[in-house]
Amino acid sequence: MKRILTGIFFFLLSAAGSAAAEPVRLVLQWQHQSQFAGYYMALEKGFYRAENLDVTLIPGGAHVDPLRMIRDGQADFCTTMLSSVLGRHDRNEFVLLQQVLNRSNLTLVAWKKGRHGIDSIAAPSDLDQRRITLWDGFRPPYEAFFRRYGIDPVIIPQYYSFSLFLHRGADACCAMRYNEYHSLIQHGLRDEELTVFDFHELGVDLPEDGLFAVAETWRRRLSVCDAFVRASMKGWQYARDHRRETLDVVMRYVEEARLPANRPHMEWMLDTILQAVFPATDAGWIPGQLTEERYRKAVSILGLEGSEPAYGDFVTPGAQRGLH
Amino acid sequence: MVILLHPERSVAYINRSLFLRLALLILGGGSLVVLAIVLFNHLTMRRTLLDDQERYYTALASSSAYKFNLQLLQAQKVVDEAAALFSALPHNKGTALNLLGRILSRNPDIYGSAIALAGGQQAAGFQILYSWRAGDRMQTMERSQPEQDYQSDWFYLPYHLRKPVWTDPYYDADAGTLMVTYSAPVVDRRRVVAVITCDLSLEGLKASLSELELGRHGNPLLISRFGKIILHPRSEWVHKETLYSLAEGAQNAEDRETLLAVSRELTAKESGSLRFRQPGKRTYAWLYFGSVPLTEWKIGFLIPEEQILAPVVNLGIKTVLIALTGVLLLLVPAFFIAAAITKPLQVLVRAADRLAGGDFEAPLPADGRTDEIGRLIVAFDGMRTDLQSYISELTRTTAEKEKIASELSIAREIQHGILPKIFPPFPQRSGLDLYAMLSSAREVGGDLYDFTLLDEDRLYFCIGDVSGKGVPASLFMAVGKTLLKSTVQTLQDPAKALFHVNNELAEGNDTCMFITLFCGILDLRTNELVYANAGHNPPVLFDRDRASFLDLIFSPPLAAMPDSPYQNQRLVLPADAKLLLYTDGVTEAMNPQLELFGEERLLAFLRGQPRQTAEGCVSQLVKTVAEFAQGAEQSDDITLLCLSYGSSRPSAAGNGTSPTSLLVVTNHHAELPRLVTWLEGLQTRLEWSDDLVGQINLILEEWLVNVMSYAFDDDQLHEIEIRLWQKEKELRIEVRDDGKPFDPTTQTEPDLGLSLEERPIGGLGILFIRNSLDELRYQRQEGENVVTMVKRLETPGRELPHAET
Repeated sequence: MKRILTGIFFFLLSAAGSAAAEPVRLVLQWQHQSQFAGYYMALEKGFYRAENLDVTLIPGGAHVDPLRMIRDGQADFCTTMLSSVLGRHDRNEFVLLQQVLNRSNLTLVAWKKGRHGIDSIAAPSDLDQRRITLWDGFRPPYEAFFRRYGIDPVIIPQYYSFSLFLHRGADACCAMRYNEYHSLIQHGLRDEELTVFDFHELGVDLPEDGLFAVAETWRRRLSVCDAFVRASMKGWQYARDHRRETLDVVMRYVEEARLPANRPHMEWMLDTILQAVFPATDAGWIPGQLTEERYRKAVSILGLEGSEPAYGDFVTPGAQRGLH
Repeated sequence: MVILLHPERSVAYINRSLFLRLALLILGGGSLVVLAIVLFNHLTMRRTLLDDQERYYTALASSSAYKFNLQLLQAQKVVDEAAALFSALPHNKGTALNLLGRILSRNPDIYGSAIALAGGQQAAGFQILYSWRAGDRMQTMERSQPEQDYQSDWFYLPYHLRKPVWTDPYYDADAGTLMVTYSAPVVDRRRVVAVITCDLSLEGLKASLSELELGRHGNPLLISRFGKIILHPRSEWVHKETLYSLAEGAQNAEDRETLLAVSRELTAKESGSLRFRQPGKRTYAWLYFGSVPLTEWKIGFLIPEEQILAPVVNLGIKTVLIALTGVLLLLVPAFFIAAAITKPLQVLVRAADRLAGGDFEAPLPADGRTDEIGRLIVAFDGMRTDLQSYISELTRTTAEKEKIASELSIAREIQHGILPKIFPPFPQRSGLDLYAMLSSAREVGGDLYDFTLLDEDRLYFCIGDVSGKGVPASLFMAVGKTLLKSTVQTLQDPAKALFHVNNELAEGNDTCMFITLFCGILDLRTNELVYANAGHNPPVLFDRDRASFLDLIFSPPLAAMPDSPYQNQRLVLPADAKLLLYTDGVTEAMNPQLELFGEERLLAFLRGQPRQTAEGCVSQLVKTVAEFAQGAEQSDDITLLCLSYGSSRPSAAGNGTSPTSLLVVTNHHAELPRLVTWLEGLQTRLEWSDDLVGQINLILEEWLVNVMSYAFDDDQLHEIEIRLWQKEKELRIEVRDDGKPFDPTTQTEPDLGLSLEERPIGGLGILFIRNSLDELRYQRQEGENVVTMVKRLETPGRELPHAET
């Protein structure tokens, strides 16, 4: 009898606990891949649950606009690139909860011998008047890059793939260091065939993925926001310290979504992403943080001086502080 | 089974059995040859098969690629035609539907087809129309997400490249399947106004590949221009992995290197074959591939090597089984051959065993064979017959030899019988000590000695050596000895006797034998020795200090030549001096180092002899010579005669008469049993009571032990002489020894109160002796203790005349 009573007591306790868990939806900016490993692990290892959050992950894709989804209330938080937010006209409606990727992974990959295999491309200036495919959503940093080097290429839209580049229909294409660049290598392209313009190295170093919410959410659900950020960053730290386990979880997400990604590629992506989340000792920033200086620099690269939201309004204290 | 369980026993068994060894040899040899052939065959077949398969499959892969290319070309042609038509027709929905129907009906391989208008043609009434097969019917739809389609490779690539394109496989949500698409741009006034496509489902491609001949043999493999895996036996790789991602994800460096090598080869060559170790496995696989020019795809077939080699392996197994059966069948003739060879051998072995046991009648294997075995049987038979006759011959000769040997031994007994052998020879002549011995090198010998009393006081003695040995010498010796003795007895003169005998023997001496001889006559009253020599070794005269050869006039040996002159020589034999006569068997005794004993050694030996009896001298000398020879065979007869005459020694006990019996023992306790034997002999002869014998035995033993224990300080051998006279009423015993003076009569009564160690020597024993006897006397004579014991007899003893011991 006593045992039954104890059982009922614990059942009620746990029911009360789960009833109290705050439902939270996170929309990702792309399909499942290692880019979001930290969130998978926070969910997997119960870090969200520990913060009393009931998190649902919504995968992104070509036709998913995460910012619109949180603005329309279809999700509570999203991950997306800082430049994507700042490039929008409704940018003032969003706040940055945490700057997760602090290092730019954008590259421009060119055929060393050009599309026709004769005219060589070695320096940014060689790209002038060349056919370059660009992602529509990521144009600001590329255009900043072109401006910086005074180049005027022929721009062709780039969508899902770099197939036009592969078929030598373009001289250069956009590539994330952690994703497309490695895919090219997996398609048999060799480094010696390619010239890679790494934006991080070339000084167009925009911080990338951040966790965003609409300002309203942040104002009204401050503790939930803080808890979500805390658990998410804990997930990233776990991913850093348990890569094999993390990779297994990533591959599970990939396979469940029937995505054509292979394990070596996801491994490359995980390693590269983690380098952008956790800085090398002398990088001058701490994980999750977006300093005012870097914010100003990003605004400057994107050519938004004057129309940008105020640092204090846009970057929440958590992101100003970063991870301690 | 027992053999199998005990390998060492089975090896031993095989070693013992020629039959088994032969059978094993034939079988083993046969098996080895068969094995070598099978192995060679297998390796050759394997090589040939792989070569053939390589040629065959490479050609097959190329032709498959060609056929596949043709299939694509046919689909492509339909689309190209449609594109050409569309550019010439009004761009409206009706035209589009017509064309789509035409495309699908013209080529059954085509799963679906789309006509996508480039932007800015709202008048056409559609953006993208898509038709596809649903069973036997054709269905058409307007695409649900045209924006997405415009961004897809199938539109995007031909639009920007302005040329037809085969896409990589992709998943189409509207069609719900993996497909590849051929897209052709419709160009109007240098602008791409539309794109027309046809889709081939991957399933369909796979099916058509499997219908190709090669598809039935191996697993088809389709690789895109950029290494992407389109078809693979491992379906989880399809659309996901590339050749390079597989290499990147390899478990180890070796696998990675293999996969990279495969990728390089596959990219570099139009067609060919590859053998590589399968990643994660130990086995090899073959990849035969050809190119599809339209898409720049590679079409290949993966076949595990074991699958290719399966026929060879099967054949190998069958061959081995057949070979094994053959070898087992070979066992039967091998058994018979081995049996045919070993059976007669076994019979021969049994016959030989019985032969060894003396049975000559054991049956032999049937005759009539002409091979080695047949010859062996004949030889064995011959050997048996020879052996039989040899044995009977041997038996006969052995019997003869035995007869001769027995005759020889009789001759030896006769020869020795004619030599005087009783010592001391003349016990009545006290003081005369004579001993002689003859040791023949063979059964019978040519040496001789002789002695006899010519009358009361004259002793004749001689020693001689017949030339040669054996029976002739012994006969000659017998003649010479007998003749000389009778002649000396007649003539009473050595030289004359020799002269006479020489002439007797030399006459008609056809055998040319001769005798060296020394003879002499000793006058016991005067100690004068008259002697003559016939070519014999000079005797040695020796006493305590000196030893020297007797001075001799040389005369030829007896029977050498008639009328040889012989002269008498004279000498007074000193008291205590001894004379040793010997033959050359002594001086010419040889040791293994081929040294002679020699005269010097003889003289030295005799000088080293202290007071010895003649017998002691002789036996010591024989011992010394034997030691010198160190076991070397005695080559010549050895004869020795030793004599001395110590004038007439007065006997304290015997009153000048000879004793009834005499016993000489040496100073050794081991000699005591001889005393018992001696007394027992006397008891029988003299009819003593047991009590008397016991008493005398005790008295003498007590005294002898006393003498042996205390009388001598040195390690030398000493003689103790016991003489016994049996008188009518008394028994008289005289004991002589040359030890320290000791007078038993003067000894005081022993103090019985003292302990054993403290008592003086022999006290109790002497007391016993004194009390047991009726009379005890002591004298010290010439360095000798002479003890005389008298025991009166209750019953008168039987007095006997002088008798030999």
